Amino acid sequence: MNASNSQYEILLQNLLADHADGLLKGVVSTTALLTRYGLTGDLYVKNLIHIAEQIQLAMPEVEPSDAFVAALYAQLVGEHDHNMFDRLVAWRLERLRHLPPHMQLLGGLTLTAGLYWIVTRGRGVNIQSVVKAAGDLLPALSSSERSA
Amino acid sequence: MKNDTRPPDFDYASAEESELVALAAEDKSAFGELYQRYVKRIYNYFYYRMGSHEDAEDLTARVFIRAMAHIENYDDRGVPFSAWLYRIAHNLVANWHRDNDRHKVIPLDEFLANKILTDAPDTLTEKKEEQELLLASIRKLPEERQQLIFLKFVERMSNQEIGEVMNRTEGAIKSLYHRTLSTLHDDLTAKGISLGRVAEEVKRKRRVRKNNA
Repeated sequence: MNASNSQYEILLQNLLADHADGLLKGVVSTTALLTRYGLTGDLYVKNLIHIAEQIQLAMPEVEPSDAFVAALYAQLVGEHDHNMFDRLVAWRLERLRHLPPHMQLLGGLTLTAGLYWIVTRGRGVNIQSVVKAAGDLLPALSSSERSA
Repeated sequence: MKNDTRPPDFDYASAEESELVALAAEDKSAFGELYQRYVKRIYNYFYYRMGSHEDAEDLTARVFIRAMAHIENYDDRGVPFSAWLYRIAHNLVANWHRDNDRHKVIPLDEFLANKILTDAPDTLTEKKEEQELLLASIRKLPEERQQLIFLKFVERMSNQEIGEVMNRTEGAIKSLYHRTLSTLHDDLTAKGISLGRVAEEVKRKRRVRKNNA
């Protein structure tokens, strides 16, 4: 790389860094930026700027499900209560619905066995929560048969 | 790890991060507060790296389980707690790809067939399709470049902050950012796709698939 290429490279890096900063602050004027760097006629730079702007639009923040966040919190902190149990089951059911039909069946049986284990061990879990969760499994499994 | 070592009126929600980190090895509630502050960010990281909510959930869980197991090893030498979490996350992604052999390059056509054409075509806007084409190109980038894109555009970190996470200088991050945009530009151009014309490209591919079906 010769000196002039190297200078152009550094100029470009600085322009793109300034552009990204402005973009994230919501205060970028591409025309003013290109003028400031003396690159108003540079189509390549304009394309890179366009790509950066498209990336920003394509990557909005996403939200994890409340059930997942609560279930993992309970797992980490060891918070045991009825609500935690409900959320944990709700999250597992939601995961089941995204599995292929045969895996849903296997997962459903595993979850049922887990619920049975919890009940028989009598760990202070609200029995109504367990019955309700087991009841929720049936529609999940029958929907898997329909989709199969 | 013990629970409830703080006074009952201790306000975890307003505690300084450094204080929570110092307590977290012995106090689950302190770790729980750190979790609440970072779970969404780590989840986003995995979502955009893996492209699926299910994988994002699995890997997010692994990050926090690992962080809790090793938090006493975290040594704050100017490296933020978030940077430590992201390094764990980065290692997990690398391991996940290695163990599952899933880090194959997905050809654009295959991506379109799987991602776009299985959805109801009429309900997707052209803008959405453009963005999915771009995300497909981003997921083909080397891991460190994907990480840079995520930290810049989703985490909205400065180059200096990204440098702390990726263990590089600010100048190196600037250079990597330029090369990353340049690679994306070349990738899209090589496929004859100018972002402004992506929607037409999608329609053309749909027509070809319908004719072949």
